[in-house]
Amino acid sequence: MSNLLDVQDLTIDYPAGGGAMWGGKRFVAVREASFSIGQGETFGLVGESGSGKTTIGRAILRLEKAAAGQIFFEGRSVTDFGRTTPLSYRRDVQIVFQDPSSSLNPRHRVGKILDQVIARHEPRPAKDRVRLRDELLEKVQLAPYHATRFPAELSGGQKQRVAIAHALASKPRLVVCDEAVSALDVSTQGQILNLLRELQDKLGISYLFISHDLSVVRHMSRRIAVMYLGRIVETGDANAVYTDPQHPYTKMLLASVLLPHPGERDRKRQERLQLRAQANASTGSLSATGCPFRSRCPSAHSRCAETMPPMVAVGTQRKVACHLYS
Amino acid sequence: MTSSQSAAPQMTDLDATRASTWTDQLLRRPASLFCLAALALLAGTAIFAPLVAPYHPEAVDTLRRLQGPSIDHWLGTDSLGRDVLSRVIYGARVSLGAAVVSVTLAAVAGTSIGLLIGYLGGWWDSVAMRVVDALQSIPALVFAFAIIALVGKGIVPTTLAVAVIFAIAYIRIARGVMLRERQRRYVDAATAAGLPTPRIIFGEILPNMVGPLVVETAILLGSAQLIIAMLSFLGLGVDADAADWGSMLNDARIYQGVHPFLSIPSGLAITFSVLLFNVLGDDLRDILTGTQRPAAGRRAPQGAVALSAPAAADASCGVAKDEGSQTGGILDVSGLTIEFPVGNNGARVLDGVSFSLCAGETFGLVGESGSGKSQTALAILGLTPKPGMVTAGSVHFEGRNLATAGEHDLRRVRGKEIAMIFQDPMAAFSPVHTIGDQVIVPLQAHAKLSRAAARDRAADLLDRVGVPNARRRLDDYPHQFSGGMAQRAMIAMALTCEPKVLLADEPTTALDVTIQAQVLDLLHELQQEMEMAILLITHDLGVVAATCDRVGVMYSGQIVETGNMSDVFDTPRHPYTRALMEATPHSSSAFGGRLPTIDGRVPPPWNLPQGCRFHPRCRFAIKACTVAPVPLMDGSRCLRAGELLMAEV
Repeated sequence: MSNLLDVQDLTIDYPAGGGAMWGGKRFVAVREASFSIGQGETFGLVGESGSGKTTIGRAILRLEKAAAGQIFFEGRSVTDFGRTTPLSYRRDVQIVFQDPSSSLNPRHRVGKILDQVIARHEPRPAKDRVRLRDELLEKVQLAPYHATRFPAELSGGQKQRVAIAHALASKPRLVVCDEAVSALDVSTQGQILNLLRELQDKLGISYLFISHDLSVVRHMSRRIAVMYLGRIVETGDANAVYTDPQHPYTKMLLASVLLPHPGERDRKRQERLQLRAQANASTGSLSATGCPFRSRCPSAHSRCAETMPPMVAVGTQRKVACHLYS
Repeated sequence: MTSSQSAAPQMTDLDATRASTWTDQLLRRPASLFCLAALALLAGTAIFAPLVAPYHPEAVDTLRRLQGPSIDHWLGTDSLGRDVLSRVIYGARVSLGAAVVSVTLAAVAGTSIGLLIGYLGGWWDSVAMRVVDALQSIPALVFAFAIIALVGKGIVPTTLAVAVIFAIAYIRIARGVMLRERQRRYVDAATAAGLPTPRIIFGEILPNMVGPLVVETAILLGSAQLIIAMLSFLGLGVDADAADWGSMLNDARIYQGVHPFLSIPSGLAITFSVLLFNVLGDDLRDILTGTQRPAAGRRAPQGAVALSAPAAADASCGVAKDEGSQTGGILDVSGLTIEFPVGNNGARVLDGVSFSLCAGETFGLVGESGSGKSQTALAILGLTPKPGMVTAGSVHFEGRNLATAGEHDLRRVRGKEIAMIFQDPMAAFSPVHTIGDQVIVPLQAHAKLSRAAARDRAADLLDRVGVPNARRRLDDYPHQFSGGMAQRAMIAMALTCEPKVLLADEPTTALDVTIQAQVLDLLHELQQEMEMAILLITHDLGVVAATCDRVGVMYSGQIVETGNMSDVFDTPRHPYTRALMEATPHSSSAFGGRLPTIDGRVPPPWNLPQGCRFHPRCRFAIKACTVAPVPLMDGSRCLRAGELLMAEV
């Protein structure tokens, strides 16, 4: 198998109110998501808040439990690991979070933050570890003196570089970037995106790039999946999805992206108003069955409330979950 | 092309403020310093009691019973002729020692248990917390009696009893902090890095609760002393003959009639040491929970206030949209300058900001964080956070200068004529009142409507901003609204008075892409209906392009470029504007190579570069750029605006 990561029909749920102990209802955060990431590839996952994209990333890191479905890393079933995660898997798969002020322990110096991971994965004498640490800092374009700093003493961009160094310390093969640049200013965001690209070219890392920002995802990924309310609704080649969206939700999402081109704004506004006007707001309440997008969908019909549309291939490089195509 | 590669290692951290630790701050407070010194003295005295005390505490001298202070016995003698001073000194050993031991035991045991149940959660947590609740419902003294009844009298059972009582307090704190910290991403990061669980609990999470634990310990040390003294006083604690402040007090009670002075030394010793611990604890709490440095202070969220008399004659301006003009609009901001005291000099967070806003138009202020765009909006409403001050410039609104207006006048303008909406709608609503109340009450007050009429109007407004089932949702609380709906409700609240000017500070930044577009489209529609002027503040070039007629690009407290939307975006005339646009990934651009970036970072307002503030990061900078400040000329604050061809982004 050539894929590094295979996610198959992954379903993740949470207890919905009532507390875990009373066995109440469960809220499904992700339903039957499937995708794969190749060696050295960046796979983009876009969606709005509550779409489940972050939950998928956390499940890959085993920070969430899968209720059903499987995750394979190099053919090994991650979902069958049991209570403890093998250290080798911890080494291979890492994560960079959105907000570096939260993902770096405010009480530790940068040096300690990095050294802990190095020591855990490469038990060596302290002197060697210092060298590894400095190499790591250099990789993310920081200097050795940054090791003596507390996270609060660094700028947002520098903190995110430390978070990336933290993820790289174990020499991973897959890094989940969960909104890794969303908290940064435009100029810093560009620096971090470039850095991630450079590291990929140099080290051959694969990324699962999760973001709500369609422009950033497109810049980073060759293939993407669009999520809506826990489901992947469209997936395929990024260029194809962006230039010729098939699923009604993808269309609405792309129409909502505000581009820095004032000339196009009236056309885009018209497009959005049209899509919204077509949406028939009363398609009944949301239930487990049926398409989650139907209440906002301009092309919803009675079938959409009854069965969830299956993923079907549209063209050679695209899969769409919509009854328009099934 | 510039690249981040060359940029990052050269970035200096000299301007990065070193976070001052709580211990530093503590030592800067005179009261705490005094308490620490006094406690150190007390501890020293206790430890070196045999060297300090003039007599042995048990040395009986029956000939000199119950004497007052004298040269031989500075604090007199007790009923057996023992030297009171020596007994107070030795008593510190027992009283302080027992308190320290019991609190230490409580801290170690309580914190560990609290951490563990907080980390394990689920059943463990539920059961343990019910037990803790039950224990805590028993008064501390009764609880101590029970333990002493079980184990027997004496200093050891007393210490144990106090330790058990206080362990409960530590369990609560440790569990509470653990539950909070577990949500933080660094715990996930540590888990993902493969660190073992005990390492995560004690190495990662524990250091983050040092603050609350230290505060609690200081306070509890005082309480422990009191409880131990109380138990000894009741004859349950330390042996009646032993030198201990509590039992000395008990002894003094018996001879109260004969020799009243006897109760004073031990009484004062207890009072003072408890006081020291409490003052120290309070100071620590202030430091750890109090506001940090003013420079980093964020504004307190201000609600979008509402409504009043409908606007009379509209001062519609229709002036040519000439970037140089600062007059003729409904709102004219001219030369606005705000300084914060930093060290000996002021830090200018805003420097000569001028623009005017015409009725029915949207003016965008765009810039990165720290550029001063939010400060501008706050200053317009006279809400500049302290210790910042408007040191120059004016804000003219309908013939009044708001920059010099008093609080009374400002209050009449805020919400009624100039309304404001924020990034976080939840911060603008009070969580304990329904949305309806928060829209209806100002309507009643300002528009002098009856409750029923105000309710109708409020429902209309919510309906107008696209909240479905508006009438029913009036009775919902803010938390029952989704982010997008709450943002709409806040817009409705801001519009109750039909303000002439709406200040929108990152109004859609927290929203999803599709919702953001809906809210912006809504604002556009409402603006056309109400002829309202909007000042839109954002970091998002896409949002500006989608909504604004004119735009001002801010950098380091100045407007560096201003003009008509399409002119600025199609043919930027300042290198910063151009760099900003290039650095933004476009969803129309395919999977691409490197993004052009802007080297370095925004200079802090207390350490601005000479000349043009952007020149250290500018690839077009020449010698002349570093000499003198560059004025805003013809809409651009760039010396080379004319000669550079900066089109084609």
